[in-house]
Amino acid sequence: MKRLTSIILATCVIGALAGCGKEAIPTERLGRAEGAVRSARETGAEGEPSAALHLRLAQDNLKRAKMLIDNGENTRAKYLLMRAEADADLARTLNDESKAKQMEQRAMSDLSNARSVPSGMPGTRTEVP
Amino acid sequence: MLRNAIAMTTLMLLVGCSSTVPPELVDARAAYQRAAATRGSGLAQTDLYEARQALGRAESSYSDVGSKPETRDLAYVAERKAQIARSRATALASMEQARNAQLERQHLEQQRNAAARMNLERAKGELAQKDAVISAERQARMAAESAKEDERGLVLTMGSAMLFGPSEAKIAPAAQERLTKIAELLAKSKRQVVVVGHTDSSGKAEKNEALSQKRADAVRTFLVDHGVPEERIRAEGVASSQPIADNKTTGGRASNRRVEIILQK
Repeated sequence: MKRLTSIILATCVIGALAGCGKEAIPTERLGRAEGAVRSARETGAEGEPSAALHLRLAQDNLKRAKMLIDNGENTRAKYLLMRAEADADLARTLNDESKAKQMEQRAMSDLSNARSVPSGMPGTRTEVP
Repeated sequence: MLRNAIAMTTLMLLVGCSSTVPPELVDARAAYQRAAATRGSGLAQTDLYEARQALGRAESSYSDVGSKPETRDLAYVAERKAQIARSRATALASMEQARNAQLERQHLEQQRNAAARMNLERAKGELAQKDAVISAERQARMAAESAKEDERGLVLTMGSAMLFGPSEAKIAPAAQERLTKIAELLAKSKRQVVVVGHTDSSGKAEKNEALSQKRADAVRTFLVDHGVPEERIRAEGVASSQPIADNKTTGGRASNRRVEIILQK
């Protein structure tokens, strides 16, 4: 009897340790979320105000998710990782948008300058002494 | 329809906890609408599709379990995906504008370069022409017996003896080469030309007038035959009214017997 109890106890402990009945550690999601955050940082999202906000949200959620994983709360962690990845992706996209708008402004400004320069257009004669 | 409504209400009551739409889902729906309406949204079709899928998952979760945390998480993600779709569409539209602006600027610059090249060619041509005129003038001055500038313009003078020899009004062969050089200058220049015939003071006035006119005409005819446009050149005879030397001496009278070819200012 004592032996059976021990076995049952041991199984439950092992089961609890393995998170039996709970979800597995969301390693793939974790990898994706970390990748998305890194990608956003590397492309300069921290420097763009609207992007920086979402990057911060992503980093916070990522940190909390890791703590939850350490506590074995993998289901809750999974959802936080989803949020983190989404915010990191958005941060990168907003940063790209900002760069694209700057490029557009520069191109328009260059065009405007080019248009306003007075030059030897057809019909203008150059004076030859 | 009514059965669905009853089923829905029952389901919501069964679910129990707050069945008001969670703010995340409200935001997600609004974000999707905005994304779909963005100018250029056609450019980010894949992102918009993913956003729609994400919203669908959030809506399913809401109808399955109501405002549970997972619904709110899915709605949160759906809102972000819609924002991504909108942002990407805007960025693509901006890049296209940038490209168009660059192309137009290049086109402008090409036009300018072409115009500048044309102007340069034209300026070169004008310079070359002016060079030609200067060169022709030098030759013409050498061909004339004397050349000077006065208030009338450039005055090239040929003595009547050299021009006509013994005859009344036929250009002597010896003078033809010189007159040809003068004709070249007159043709290249754009200036108006007057040919003036002069005599000395000896003999009758009418005779001198007729002779000086005839000689001026003869020179004019030669010049026109050698390329000077006739509307630019006229001839007049002034007899002895404009002497340049003393008619009492032989040398003076010889000097006065002359034809002047004047390029007017």
